[in-house]
Amino acid sequence: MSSADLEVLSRWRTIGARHSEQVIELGLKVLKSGKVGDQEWALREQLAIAALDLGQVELSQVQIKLLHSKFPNSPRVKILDGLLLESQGRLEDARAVYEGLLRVDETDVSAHQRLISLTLSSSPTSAIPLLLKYLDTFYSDPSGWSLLSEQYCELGMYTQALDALGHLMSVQPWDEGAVRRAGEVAYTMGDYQLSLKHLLRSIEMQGTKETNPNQSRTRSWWGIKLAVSRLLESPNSETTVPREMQSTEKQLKLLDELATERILDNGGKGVGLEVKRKVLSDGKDIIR
Amino acid sequence: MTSPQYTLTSLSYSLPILHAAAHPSSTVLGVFLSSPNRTEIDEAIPLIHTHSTLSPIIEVSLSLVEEYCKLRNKRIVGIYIARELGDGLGRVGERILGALREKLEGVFGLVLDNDKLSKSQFAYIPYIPTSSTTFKPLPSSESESFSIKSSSTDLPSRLLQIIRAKKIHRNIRDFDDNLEDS
Repeated sequence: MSSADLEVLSRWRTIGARHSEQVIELGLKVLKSGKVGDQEWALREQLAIAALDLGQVELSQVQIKLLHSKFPNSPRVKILDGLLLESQGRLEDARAVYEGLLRVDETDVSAHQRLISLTLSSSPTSAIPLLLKYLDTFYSDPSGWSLLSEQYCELGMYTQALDALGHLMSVQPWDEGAVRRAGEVAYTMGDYQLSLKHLLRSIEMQGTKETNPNQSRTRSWWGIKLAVSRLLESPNSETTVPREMQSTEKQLKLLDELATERILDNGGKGVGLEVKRKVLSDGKDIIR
Repeated sequence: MTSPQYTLTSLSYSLPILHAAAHPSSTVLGVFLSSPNRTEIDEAIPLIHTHSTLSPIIEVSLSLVEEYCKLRNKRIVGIYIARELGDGLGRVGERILGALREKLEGVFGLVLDNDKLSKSQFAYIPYIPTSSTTFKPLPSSESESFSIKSSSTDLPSRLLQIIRAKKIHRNIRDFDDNLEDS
């Protein structure tokens, strides 16, 4: 059904999802049907990128050529030229394309982003200073903060990763995924009180029964279960959370019960359920 | 230390590759199971494909697998990892293997290798424990330590064909997928 496919592709463009295989399948199908309308060019761009992801260079080149004829001298299409070069391993040529774009317009965000991405594959540690410089200018780019946090995590620099997520949360205060992520980073760092705060907040942000009928937040509840177990085991573990704001033992025990109940509530049957019950009832066996 | 001789069933050989194909731009990770005292790896369980540098979900998934093993009389004998960027086990792979090593000294890691995969060879580089706390890649002279069971000698190339033709990797669900319920 063409219009449903169009919607799916459009949604993926909006959220920046990468499902390259399906994009090619659906994209080609939709283009062939001829019922694309004014979404044609955004779709061709999306298709060009997906094709590069899967190494289908020819398909990509066809799209890029069409885009060039429709939008001559467009900096946005020029980025695709750079991407094509990157996929062929011609990184220095790609760099030249992006630097050329920046000479014409130094606020070209995509060009900045591609230059940073180039360092990710060649020398990951140098991506961080570039990102920091980029974020100095483009402070409100959430993808920059998110990537920075990821890069710090790769290096095991969890404090800095948490800082970066802090910026992400201030730029996108509605983003409960960022809050949950902060909870998981705090847990990884061993700051379980802080982890608990973030994870509980992420649960709260996902809404009540009135605003959001889907009440399962299993990922967050598992995180809470783990953080609570650690705190019940070692109540004096180090934390950045001030004493008066820490969760008390009484609260922890209640949370433990609640987390167990919520996780079990969210389904599962047979072996899966039995396994879950066992892990939930005896936290001591958790592999660390 | 002499390396053990393991055979992988076709499912165990294939599953990590399917998992990687389902998430080609992320690091994916999973475990291998076998029955105690046996060297046939007959089960592979895909665990995560996001946030591989964060511990909570990894801890939970490993604990769930451990319980599953108790119920089914199995044990975790190794992990597999297909990394988004870079070679080797990586920091996270080493950390997980280090933790698993406390339960089973001979635990190993299979790292998916793009080069071998594309040449339709046995697509993994095995990492085995050294005498200290680290893991090192198995030298190619000992490549027979890990093999695919019985008549599946052309499994590597057939698997790639099936993935391309039938897209079977799209049916993989790992623990992360299981948690996508909100």
